[in-house]
Amino acid sequence: MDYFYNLESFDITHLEQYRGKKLEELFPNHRNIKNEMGEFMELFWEADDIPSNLRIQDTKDSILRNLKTVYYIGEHTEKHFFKRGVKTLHDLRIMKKYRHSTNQILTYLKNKDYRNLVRNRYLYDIDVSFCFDLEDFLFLDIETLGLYDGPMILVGVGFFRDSKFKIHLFFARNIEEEIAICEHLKHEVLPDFKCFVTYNGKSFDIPFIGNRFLYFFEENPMISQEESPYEMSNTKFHHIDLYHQCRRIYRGKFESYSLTNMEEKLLKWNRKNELPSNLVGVCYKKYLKNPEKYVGLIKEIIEHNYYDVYSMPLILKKLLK
Amino acid sequence: MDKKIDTLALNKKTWDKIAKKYEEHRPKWPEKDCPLFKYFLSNLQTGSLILDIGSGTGLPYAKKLIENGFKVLGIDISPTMVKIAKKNVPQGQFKQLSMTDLDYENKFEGVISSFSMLLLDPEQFNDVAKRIVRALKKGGFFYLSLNEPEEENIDVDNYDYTIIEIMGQKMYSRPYTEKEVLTIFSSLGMKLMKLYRKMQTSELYGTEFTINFIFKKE
Repeated sequence: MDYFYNLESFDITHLEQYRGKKLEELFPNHRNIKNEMGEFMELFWEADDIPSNLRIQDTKDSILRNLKTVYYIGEHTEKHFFKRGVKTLHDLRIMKKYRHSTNQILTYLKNKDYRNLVRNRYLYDIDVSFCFDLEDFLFLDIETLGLYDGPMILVGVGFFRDSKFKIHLFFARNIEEEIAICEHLKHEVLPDFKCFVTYNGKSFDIPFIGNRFLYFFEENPMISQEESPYEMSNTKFHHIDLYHQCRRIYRGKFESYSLTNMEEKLLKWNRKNELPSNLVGVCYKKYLKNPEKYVGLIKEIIEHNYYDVYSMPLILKKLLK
Repeated sequence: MDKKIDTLALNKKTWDKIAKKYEEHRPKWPEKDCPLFKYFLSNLQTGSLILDIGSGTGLPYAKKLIENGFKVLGIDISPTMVKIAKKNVPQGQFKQLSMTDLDYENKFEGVISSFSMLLLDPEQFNDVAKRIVRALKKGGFFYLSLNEPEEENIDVDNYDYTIIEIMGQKMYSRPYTEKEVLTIFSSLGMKLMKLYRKMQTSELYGTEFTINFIFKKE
């Protein structure tokens, strides 16, 4: 009988001013995108205040200084080597015992072979970001109507172009427009990038999108053809999940590792009037019933997603320091 | 006339029946207080007497008021609810009384009605509003929360719409619009101090669009 959950509430006093307005009026920076599958609405921004000097190249140096990546070397041996003046992997090459393994890692580093590098137990997804250019990162966040197998209503992507951060949101004005968004993602967005950056996307966003691709097109563009598409949702793209990196790097420091909490603690930045994410579906359904009255709720959903995408590069920058 | 007696009796019966279950499975309230409730508290002197209309189990409002150093008189139509409230908030005073029989004059510095006046039909609502204004002292505050109708231009007095089901029991509940409430209370000499809209979801009531008022007796 434990089915009464906490009351979730959200202040909508300030949303009254938008009543009767159209979504196109509220966001002048929009355009309609048409493709074979239909059309949807795209909203776009250029976030000037996001610095483009993410220190992704520095991760290569930190791998070079990480002697534990070599076989037979653990924490104890690494300390011992540091004392004797062996500082980088280059110095290890002269030692016969470690030569083979060291050379292998140095070759991977030289070839930017991130797939083999992340197999090493001392290297994590974020450590191989030097293999990519800044423009290869795709920051991604979606809003859906349910936690499993429902439609997506909003897909937010962010990327760097000409050292400026651009945020594009693809919004389905009704549920039928979702397929056009998937088509656009498949042909126009995904081919331009090599690496996803998400917040808890490994367990939610990416499998969810993969599921939708399979539902609409019976093939998943995130999977190479020789692999079975039903067991994995993403094998083509490298994926940095900031949630896992935050949990690992700041282990035990925070009570909750939700995105809003990390914004507060890491970036010292508070969102104003935050819409709880579990109300997104309810708000969208209300909007579909009565678009004139509840257009303010959609404005809130779009801003919620905008700030989710906005804060990801800032958190990535913090983690790369 | 018949209808009036019906809704009151129906609601009394329902609350009596579900009181124990309601107390056991009460939704946990969010930790953040409604900003209007904070405003209500900050405008009243500690130690003043406050009337809680439809106090129910005494949680959370009667308890919070006591914690903040106020004296509370809670009234509720259901005797079972009153018993539970006395157990939950031993420092408060609780009485079995329908708000339609409220008969006080210049007694309270504050009156609070949280989702209780929506159980009245419009005729009773008018009558109770007058009684509340009479019970308030001059300069006193009145905190009122209600539900708004989900859609505009809907027949809110329709039987199907007003008879809702709560924990398997039927109950009368009618949403009121901002305009209706303001016309009733401004004609009684109450001044609107603040207004707050909130959307909330719970398993018990689903999605609600609530509207909260603070009135001051001029």
